Amino acid sequence: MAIDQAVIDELRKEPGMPDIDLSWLREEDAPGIVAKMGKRGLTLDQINTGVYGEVPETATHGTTRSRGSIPRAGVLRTAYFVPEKSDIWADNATLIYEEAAQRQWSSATDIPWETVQPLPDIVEEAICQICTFLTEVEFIAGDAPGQWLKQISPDHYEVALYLISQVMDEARHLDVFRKRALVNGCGLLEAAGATRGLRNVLDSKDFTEMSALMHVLAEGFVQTMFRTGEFIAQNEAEKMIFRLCAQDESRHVGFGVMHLRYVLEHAPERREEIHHYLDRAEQLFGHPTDGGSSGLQEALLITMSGGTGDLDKGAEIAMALNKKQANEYMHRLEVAGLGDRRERMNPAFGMLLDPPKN
Amino acid sequence: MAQKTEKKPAATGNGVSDDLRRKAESKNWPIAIIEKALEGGVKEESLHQAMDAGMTPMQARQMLTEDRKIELGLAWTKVDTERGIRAEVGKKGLTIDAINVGSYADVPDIWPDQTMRPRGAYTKPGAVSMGYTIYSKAEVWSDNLGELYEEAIQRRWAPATDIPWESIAPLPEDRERAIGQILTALCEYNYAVILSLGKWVREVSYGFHEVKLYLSTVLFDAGRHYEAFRKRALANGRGLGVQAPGHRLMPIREAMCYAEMATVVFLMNDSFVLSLYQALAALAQNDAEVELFTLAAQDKARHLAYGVDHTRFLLKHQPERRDEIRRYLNKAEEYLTADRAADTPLREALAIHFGGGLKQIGDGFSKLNDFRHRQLQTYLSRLESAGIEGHENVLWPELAKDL
Repeated sequence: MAIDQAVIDELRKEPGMPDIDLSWLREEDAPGIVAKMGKRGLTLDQINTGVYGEVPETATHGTTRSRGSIPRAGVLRTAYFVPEKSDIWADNATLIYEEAAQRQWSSATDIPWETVQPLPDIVEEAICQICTFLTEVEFIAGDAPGQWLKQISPDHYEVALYLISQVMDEARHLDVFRKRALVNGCGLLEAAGATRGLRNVLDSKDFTEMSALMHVLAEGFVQTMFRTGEFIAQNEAEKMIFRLCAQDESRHVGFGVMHLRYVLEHAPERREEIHHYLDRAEQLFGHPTDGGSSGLQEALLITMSGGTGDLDKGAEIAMALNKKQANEYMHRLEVAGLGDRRERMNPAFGMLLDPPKN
Repeated sequence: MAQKTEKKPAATGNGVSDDLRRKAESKNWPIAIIEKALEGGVKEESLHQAMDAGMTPMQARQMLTEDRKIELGLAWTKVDTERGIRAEVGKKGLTIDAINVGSYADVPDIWPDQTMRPRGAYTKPGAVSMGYTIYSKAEVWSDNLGELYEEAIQRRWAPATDIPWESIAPLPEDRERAIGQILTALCEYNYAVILSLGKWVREVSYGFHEVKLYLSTVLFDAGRHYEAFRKRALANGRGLGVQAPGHRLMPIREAMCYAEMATVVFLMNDSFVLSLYQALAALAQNDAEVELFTLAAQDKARHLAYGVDHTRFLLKHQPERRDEIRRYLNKAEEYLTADRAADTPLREALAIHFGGGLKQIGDGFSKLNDFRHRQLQTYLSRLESAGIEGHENVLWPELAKDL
């Protein structure tokens, strides 16, 4: 129902009434919309209806105007955004963001810290070495998406919300691994100190490059490690930490895979470029010249062996983990539409791959 | 018919080709590893690639052979970091403040390290810079960071399910359009904060991880507010209104140092925004709006608490920056008043909302003036808490008219 113009005219005549304009109440400027709640409440997908759900292929304004609101002339620009939707989009961004909002957890109260009991020194040290490494890694995983936020247009705000949820998740991971290192009689140990593979993520100059390196490769490997956390964990607290972190990492990997898929579907000419990013990243990831990961490898071996008595047992599990990481990485690439990666994968990973199915 | 066969490289007696043997020798790979790999079905081509890629014999042995003898170096167990730390779980669980014990609690005034070393850990010489720019504790610190971080996590909420959206019944056209217009401006403010904070989280060095953790929660809050306000605007028939002029967002965008951004966002703008959230909660038209604005105000109060405490910390440790901080405040005040002057839709929407409908817009303007007076008084008292006294004497003149 439109505002009655006669009421407005009468109001203007009232004594002492300030100048009123009220042109923003014009009927034609207000598209009718009633978003309906679904089973999961009022989600972002539910409000993506009518003009509000029309995500432009190219963001053409540099202001903070919300998608679907009425443009105003003369507004100052806020930023240079990545204009092309295909450069940053993933179709599951809304779903993942809503899930992240539902599945937030607290490292202070949701971990059964009382189950952490004294461990043999070498095992406690190994756990703390792993936690030191993971604390470092999570710093990067929070900083990298954070630095891209300023380039995400409000026309593509769903991606910004997803990236924010990742920054929050990684903060909690950083926090929980630091807490674990400081709760049971040891402390932090040796930091790898910026491996080339990790700095490569921060150095990325393209969103898809960053996403492929961080979400698909690095976080994919970390997620597989977290999902096999029962071989590392020594108590219920650690099992819970790995379980919850794996759940979070699944979202990040899921975004990366679907973003890569979107890019390959909408900008297929970028295939070789993306291969090139991965060529370099695979070479740098855990590169022997880094010299920073030996502590982590040994610590994993010790925790998986339950000590130093039967290292072969740990080596067997570590080998299985390495194979799982490589195969799951390949599977994610296949889902993203980059199955031809199998032929050019770095041999350090390629030799761990199972033969292709079919 | 002759079958097409692959040409195989010349091999020695034990199945290792001459090419492969030469490469293994040049890369210092024991030939036994090569033999074991070939026996295990690894392709010769893969072995060439592995050696070319820089894989070490140790890594290869670990991956390829079963009867290895593993030797641990354990150098990482001998590093000089503080041991014996047993942080205690308190009433609020294992909090970030609870693990600040021993040397791990020592937050230096200047963080000396450009690497990704966590505070209290050891880094081997040769670690590279990660490109952070903020190494001064006073620039970013506040003593309530740990508390605010944990509180933000404990008090998390999800707009999709924690707001009783079903309580929103159809409203008169003028009321619905007014709230939609107000929310349009608030969405833009929150998006500007998102754009800004993403950059600043990255700039803070790792020694001040509490700051990074806290800023992550602010980012999450700002995203949630953007999301929740957009949902409310689209939930009841009318949608978003006219874009805001954007003047007040300029000082946020233009902040050249962290303290400037923190002053503009957390101390100045958030003070005005918190007052507005609280007023919207008081004037809510249904249970959904009560919950929405109450929860948003709860979040915003944390941001402001940091803004006040951070400024107090900064001025205590760098009192010479007082005038500089005032300049940032004045700039933000100037742009706020420019925004108000240019934003007729928001001003009128607030008057309709405060008055209770279009027909009461005259009364609404009067109430809006009262609100702005209170908003300004509250702002000045918050500045006083932050250690900035007498600011009423140097307020931006246009804003001082609200006194």
